[in-house]
Amino acid sequence: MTTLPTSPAAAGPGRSPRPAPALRRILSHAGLEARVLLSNGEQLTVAVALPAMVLIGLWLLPLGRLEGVAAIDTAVAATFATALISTSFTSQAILTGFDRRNGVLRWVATTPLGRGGYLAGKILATLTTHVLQVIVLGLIALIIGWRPELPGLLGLLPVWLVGTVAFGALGMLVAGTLRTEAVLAVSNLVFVLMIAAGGVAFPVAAYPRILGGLVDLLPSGALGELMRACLASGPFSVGSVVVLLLWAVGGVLAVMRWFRWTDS
Amino acid sequence: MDDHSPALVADDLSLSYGSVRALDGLTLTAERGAVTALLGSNGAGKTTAISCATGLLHPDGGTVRVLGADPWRSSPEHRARVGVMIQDGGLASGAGAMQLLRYGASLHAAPLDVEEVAEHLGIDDFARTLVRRLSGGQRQRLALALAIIGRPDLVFLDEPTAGMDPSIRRRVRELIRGLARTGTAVVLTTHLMDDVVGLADAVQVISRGRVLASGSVQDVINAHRAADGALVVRATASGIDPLVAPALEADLRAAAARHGAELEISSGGAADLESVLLDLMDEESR
Repeated sequence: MTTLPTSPAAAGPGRSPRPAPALRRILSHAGLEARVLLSNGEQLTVAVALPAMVLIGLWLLPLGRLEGVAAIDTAVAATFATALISTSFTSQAILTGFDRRNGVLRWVATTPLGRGGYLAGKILATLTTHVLQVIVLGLIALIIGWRPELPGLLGLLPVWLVGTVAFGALGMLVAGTLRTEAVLAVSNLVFVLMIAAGGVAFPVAAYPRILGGLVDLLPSGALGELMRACLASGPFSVGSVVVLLLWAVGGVLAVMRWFRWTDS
Repeated sequence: MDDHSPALVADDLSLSYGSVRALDGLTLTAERGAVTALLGSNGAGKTTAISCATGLLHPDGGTVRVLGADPWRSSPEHRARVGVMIQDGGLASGAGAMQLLRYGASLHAAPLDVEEVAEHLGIDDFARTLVRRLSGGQRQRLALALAIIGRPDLVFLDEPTAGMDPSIRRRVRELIRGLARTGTAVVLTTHLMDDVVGLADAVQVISRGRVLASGSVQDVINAHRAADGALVVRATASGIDPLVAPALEADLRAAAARHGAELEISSGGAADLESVLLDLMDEESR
C-alpha cells in the first residue's frame, strides 16, 4: 500500500495547509448546491414542472386574469412568482433541513468555507437556479405567445431580488427551527397554499374583500402583485413593495435570531 | 507559537446542557506527530470536548487553544489547518462521493491529490454513488478523506473506524499512523480498544466530562494496577501457538499458586486496557 503525503512536511515546501481564495470557496459551494438541487428529481419537479403546469393551466383556463390583459401575461407573472417561491423557499427549506439533520451545517462550520461562505454559496446557487428556471419557463412562454417588454423585465429585477431574500429567509427559518420531517410537510404545504390561495396564481382583486386584505399582507400576495405590475400591466402598489421589504428584513432578522445550526 | 508546543491544549473546560454537566473541568493536551485517543463510554464527554476544540461549541468555562488559536474565533486560515471528521459524517446526502471529495478539496489551496486519496481509501469503488446510498463504512471513509484532504496540521476524528469492515479498518489505521509519522497531530475518539492499543501514542480516559487517566496505554494500565500499592509483576509472552496456550496458562497458574499470588491472564493489550477503563468507570460511579 502506498503512503499518502498527508502532511505539509511530507508534501514539501509550499504545500502548507491554507484556504482557497474566498470567492473560489463560495463559487465551489454554489456549484455543489446547484448541482445537487438540479439533479434531484423531486426538487426539479418543484422548481420547473410545477411552475410550467401553472403557466399552461393559467394560459388555457379562464382563471387569474386581469381585465384587458392577455392571458399569457398574467400566466407568466404567476409562473415566475411560483418559480421564485419554489426554489427560494421550498427547495432551500428542504435541502437545508436535511443538511442540518445530516450534520452538514456542523461540518462546513469547521472548514475554510465557514458558515458565512455556506450562506453566500446557497444564495448564489438559488439565484443560479432562478436564471435556469427563467430561461426554461420563459422559452415555453415565448413558444405559446408571450411577448415581454423591456421596462417590465427591468422592473422585475429588484422585485426578484427582494423576493429571493424574503422567501429564502423564510425557507431558512423553517429549515433551522423545525425537525426535518416537519420541514418537508410545512414547506410543501405552505408552498401549495401560497400559490393557490396566497395571491400568486390569482390577483388579490379576485379575492373577497376581507380575504384580499389579508392576502395583501402575505409575502406571496405582495410578490404576486408586483410580478403582475411588472409583467401584466397590473396595478403598481407601494404597499406591496413595503410588505415584501418588511418580510425580507423580518425574515433575515428572524433567521439571525432563531436559526439553529445543529439538530440537537 | 513554536512547532514543538502541543497542537491542542484544553484547560479546565466545563460545559452543561441544561442540568446535564457534559464537561466538568476537562484538561487535556495533544502533541504534534502523535495519535491521542480519547477513550470513554457513550456520554462521557468525548464528542463535546471535540466540539469545543473545533469551535462548534463554546465552553461555559475554561480555555482551549488549537494550534495556538481560539477555535471559537477561528479564521478560514486556521480552519484550513484543522481537519474534522464529525461523528454523524456531515456529508451532503444528495451529492456523489467523488463530487463531494472534489468539493472538499476545492476549499483548500494545496489539497492532496483527490484521485490518490480516493484510491487509497477505496472511495473510487463507489465514486459515483450518492451519499444517501452509501453504507455506514463507506460514509466513514468519505468523511475521513474530507478531513485529511487539506493536509491538516491537526485532525480530529470522531469514531473513525466505526462501521468499517476489518480490511478497511486496518488500512485506515495505517493511514492514521502515517498522518502522525509525518507530523500531523491526530486526536481521535473511539470505543474500540484495538484502535487505542494499535494506534494511540497517548490515551486520555474520560468519564463524566473529566479525564480520569492519561499517558501512554502502558502508563495508564500500570498506574491503575499499582494504585493499591501492591507489587505488580508484568510479563508479556508473544507468538504463542493457540494449541499450547491452555498448557502455558495452567503452568502459570500453578506457579502463581506456589507463590501465593493472584494471577490475571489476558489475551492481549486490548483486553487489559478495556478492564482498566471499566475499573476506572466503576470507581468513578461509586
